[in-house]
Amino acid sequence: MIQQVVYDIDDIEKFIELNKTSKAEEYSQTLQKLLNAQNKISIIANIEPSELKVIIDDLKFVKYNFKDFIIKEGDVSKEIFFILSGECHVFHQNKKIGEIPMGKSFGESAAIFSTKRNASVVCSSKEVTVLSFSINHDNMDFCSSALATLYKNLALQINNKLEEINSKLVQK
Amino acid sequence: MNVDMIKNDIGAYLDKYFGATYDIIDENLEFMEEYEFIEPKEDYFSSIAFLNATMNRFTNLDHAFSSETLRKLFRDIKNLQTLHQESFRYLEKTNESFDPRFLNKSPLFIEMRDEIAEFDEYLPLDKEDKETLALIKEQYSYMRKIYYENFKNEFVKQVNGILDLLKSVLNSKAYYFDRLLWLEASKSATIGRSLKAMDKTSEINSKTYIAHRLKVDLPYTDEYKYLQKCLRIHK
Repeated sequence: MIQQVVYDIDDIEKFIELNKTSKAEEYSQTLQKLLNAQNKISIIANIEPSELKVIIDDLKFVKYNFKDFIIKEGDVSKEIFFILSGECHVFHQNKKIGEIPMGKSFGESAAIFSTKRNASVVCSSKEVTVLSFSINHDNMDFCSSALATLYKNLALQINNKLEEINSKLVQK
Repeated sequence: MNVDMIKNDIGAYLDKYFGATYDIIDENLEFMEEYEFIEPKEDYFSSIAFLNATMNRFTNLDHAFSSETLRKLFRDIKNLQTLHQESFRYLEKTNESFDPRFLNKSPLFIEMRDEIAEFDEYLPLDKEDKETLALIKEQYSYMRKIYYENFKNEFVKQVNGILDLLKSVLNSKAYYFDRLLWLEASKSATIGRSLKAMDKTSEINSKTYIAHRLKVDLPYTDEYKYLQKCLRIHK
């Protein structure tokens, strides 16, 4: 059996220092990824990048496996998701009501209004990678133009959904 | 005897069998959790051979470039890699681990073997004894078959679990080793001179170093292909 290496306090201090820079670099890479995809995520499209950095919280990459729940209907959570790879199915009361392909975002409304999730989103590919983040409402007070754009985007999104429903009703 | 009992029996044996490996993994995972080590999304595990070779090359150039921490981390990764290789080889040793190791320690099989051995003391055997002995032997063989099937499944499951956990630990430690290696190498004038042919406009790290090596190394060799793989990891 192998002999375990014992680290002392000097080693730990070096690791902690490396960790700080690693985390900072990792966050900056993830943030860059978000900025690259910003205009594909309707809720944060057109927000000034410098303001976006301030209002974004808990930004991370998350991997899900087939059949994993990304969002559970009825839960209250703050995350907004953007699919980097793979695709998901949407379920309402255990009935499939839609699909979300790569390059699309979801979970915006419940995250902004802090309401319960109105549908479940389940990973339908072998693996799904999402960029997950939340909006820091406290910092919103300092970024009034970002706040205005965010709500304008949300209004547009709701309007688009209403138009979609209307056109379906007309077709019926 | 039902299947759950058999599985519990085997599970308890394997927990002991792999006990020392689980202890090492637990200690490593606790260490990583305590100091919030991140596990990078890239498959750093595959680039360990490159990192080892780079460490050796830099040590040959400047034996004083590395700190005690870097050397410890180097040893640690080598040890864990050995454990990973040993664990991988377990997959070829299912038979060896079951027969005789497991069978020799299982109370059920010890009892059955004792029963069979008892008949040796009553020679010559009459017809009834012979029938009883044949029945016990048949039971032994049947139970052995059932136990082996369950043992094989549980053994492979546990070894694969160990391999995944070790890979996760190695991914993380290799990532920190990579960062510390370049941090310390960049402070050495001798190593700096040896890297002077590299593109100085970008930061010197595994990615830029591999990119430079790929420019100067002969393509289509195994090393070239391996470095290409490493470059994808360090992107």
